[in-house]
Amino acid sequence: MSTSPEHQRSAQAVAILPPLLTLDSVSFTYSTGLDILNGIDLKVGRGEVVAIVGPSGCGKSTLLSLIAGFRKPSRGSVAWAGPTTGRRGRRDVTMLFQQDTLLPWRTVQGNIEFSLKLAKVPKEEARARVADLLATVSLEEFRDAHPAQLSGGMRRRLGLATALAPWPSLILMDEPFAALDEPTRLTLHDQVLKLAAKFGTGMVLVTHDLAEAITLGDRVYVLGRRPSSVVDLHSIPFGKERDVFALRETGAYQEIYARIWSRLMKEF
Amino acid sequence: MAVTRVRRRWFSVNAWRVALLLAFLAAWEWVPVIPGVAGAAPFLDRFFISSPSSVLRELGHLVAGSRPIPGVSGISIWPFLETTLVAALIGAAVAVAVGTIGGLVCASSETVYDVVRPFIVALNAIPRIALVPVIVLVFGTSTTGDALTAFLLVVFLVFYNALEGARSVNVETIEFVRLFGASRLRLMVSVRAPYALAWVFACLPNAVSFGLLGAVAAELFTGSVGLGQLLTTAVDTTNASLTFAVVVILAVLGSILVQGLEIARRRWLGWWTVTVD
Repeated sequence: MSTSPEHQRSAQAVAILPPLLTLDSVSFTYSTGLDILNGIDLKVGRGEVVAIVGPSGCGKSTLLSLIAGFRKPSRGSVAWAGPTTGRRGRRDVTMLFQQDTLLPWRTVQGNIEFSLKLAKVPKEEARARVADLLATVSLEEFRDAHPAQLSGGMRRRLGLATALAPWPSLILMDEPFAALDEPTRLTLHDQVLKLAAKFGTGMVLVTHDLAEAITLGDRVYVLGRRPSSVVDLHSIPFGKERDVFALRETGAYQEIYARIWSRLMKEF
Repeated sequence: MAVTRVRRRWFSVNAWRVALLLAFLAAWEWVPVIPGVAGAAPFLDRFFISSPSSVLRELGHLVAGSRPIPGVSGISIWPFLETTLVAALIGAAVAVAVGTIGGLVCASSETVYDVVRPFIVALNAIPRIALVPVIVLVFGTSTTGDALTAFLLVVFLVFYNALEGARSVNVETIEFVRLFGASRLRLMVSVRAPYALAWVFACLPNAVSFGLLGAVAAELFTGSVGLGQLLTTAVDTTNASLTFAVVVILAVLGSILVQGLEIARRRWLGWWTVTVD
């Protein structure tokens, strides 16, 4: 792993906050013998947005399933310092995918209610949260519509609401905005940042879109070719209150973009 | 503008339908009476194919209960219809219930499906009609036997639809729900079951037609008092008009059931088809 100045600075920042999630030299090999991940070190602080970029097929999605607990690392450890629920100590994590995970027979409101029901949120509390979430993702007028009646951007927003409903400590995002047009994507970026700040939710965002990674991330991890490890790590100095629309015009953004891009290109 | 075009199209489609039907009926009625036709092509003889007017007269008698039959006076279609319909619907309904639950459980548990798969494949490979003699031996001439035949024809159709439907839930949705700590039972009931039901609904028209097929086929064998037996009687008395009358009744019956199911599907499964843009 490189020891760029950014790397050291972010390492200090993480040391101050107790990290929510710590991956310590995590490796993963499929049962077929295919090595996917090789010694990944990664930390996510509370309320922190961590973006992960890398060449396609480098194991970004596998990394998320390790964090979610769907898979166990072949070597190394995944430590969780956040709340857990249930007898098996399930991590307080939800997930947002590129594909919709909405139930088509339930209404907009019904989909949010389903999340709350799964999370065993008491009825009274759930009612208040539904109203709040509908307002937060601006879908109040569509509360009785079915997912098929919504646009792609609206379905994403509803997906976001269902993932946020149990107030998780961390949302894992696997290319959640990849299938959207540019204006919709930027609008969603803006909303996601505001939501994350409002609920204090951390995010691990896997994306192939470097602009998205820099726009949303507090830190950006660059993974190398498979079997991948962290080849670079950058702190993004724009803070939580950033303006996602104006950001891209700034020199600081373009400088960071160029720097990460040149590192990323070496991995293709 | 658009409305007029839609209406004009509706009108022309229906006009063509009526024209085709009338052309067919006219040909059926009058081609056999063209001199020399019946001699050259025996299958066009009215003795074999009857005529729309005779079939219509026969239908009238059957519906009114005034059908004169050698040795029997005044038989009516209704008891026959009832027997067949009851057997077909009971058989199909039980098959839908069993097939849906079976498909859902097999989709939810790889282990269960692995265990039962070879048996299901083998049973499904049997030409079900070959089992009718066995059913007759066990149940005799009874509605139970006819319903069981209908059941056997329908159950695999429903099973495979429920299985595919319940499996059509995407991996992401399952992982999303599992991250909330949902149990397998919850996943099966709240997520997989509606998909399975939607697919089962899609196959219900076929299920109904297979159910009728099973019931009628069983009656042909067993001679229980249904439409199948009426067909046997018609063939035994070489009465082509009666044969076609029963066929028409079966076609109407099937169409009504399928249409009813379509209305129910639109009502309950609107979410499945509703799409904007």
